[in-house]
Amino acid sequence: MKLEDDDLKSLIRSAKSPGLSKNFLSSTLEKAGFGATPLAAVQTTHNGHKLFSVSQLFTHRYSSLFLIIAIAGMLLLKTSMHAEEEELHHIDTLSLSTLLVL
Amino acid sequence: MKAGFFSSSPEKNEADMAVLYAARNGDKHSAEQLILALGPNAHALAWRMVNNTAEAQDIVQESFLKLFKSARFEGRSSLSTFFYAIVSNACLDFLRKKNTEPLDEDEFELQSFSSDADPGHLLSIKQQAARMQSLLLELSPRQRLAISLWAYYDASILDIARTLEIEVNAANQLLHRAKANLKILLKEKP
Repeated sequence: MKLEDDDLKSLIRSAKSPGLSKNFLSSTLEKAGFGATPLAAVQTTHNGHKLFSVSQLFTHRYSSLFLIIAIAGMLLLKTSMHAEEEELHHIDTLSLSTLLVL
Repeated sequence: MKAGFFSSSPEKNEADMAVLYAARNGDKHSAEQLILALGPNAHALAWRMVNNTAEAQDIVQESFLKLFKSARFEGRSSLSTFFYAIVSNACLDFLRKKNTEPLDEDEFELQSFSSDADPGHLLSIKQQAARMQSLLLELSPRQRLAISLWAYYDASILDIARTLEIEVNAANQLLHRAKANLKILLKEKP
């Protein structure tokens, strides 16, 4: 029996294919850059205003300021410990130099 | 909505282009719209070509990334034809790199089939689908692509030519050979 084109088409169409997985839409959107807003961005925004977070201290913009404050703090701490053991007049000299750095 | 999937008109192409550009400009809703409209049929086509659900899904996903980021759509054909061309080329590239593996009947998860269906009937449909897929896999990749577009999506010769980026005469010959070869296979392997 000769198989006509329409019969062939019906025969091929009767073979179903597996469907897409349930997460296909979300994973494709995410890979294409349409994912959810990053959590960090959500946390630093409140009523449309940017909030300051500690993590921002480590960003390029604030890194030098953070470094200076940290060094000054360490110097002050060292000075006060040293002063207890040595003569008190050292405090004035070192504190002055620290303030100059700041 | 497989019938008319390749249908195209200047108005429709323009509307498609607007949705695509909105998606490219970061409109998530437009991107979702495109994925939902083109994804299932593109996946079915890719699966028929590569015979593996996960690999077919990867191909379609990569094709969407290409559509959203780099592919140049000028609205000369329908967006679906344009997207199918991306998927088809990705499938042919994939097959050039890797040999197809034997068909796994467990791959079938027939979406249109209700869970309370007769298990015997379901098995018969699965076997029938597996048999047709295994026969299609005996065709060359380009013949398989042409006959899949024609049979499943009612693609015309012009659509096949545009999708495969070949001349209309070449598409006609390709489809003709694919049909003839499949008919022979159906007789030889009943």
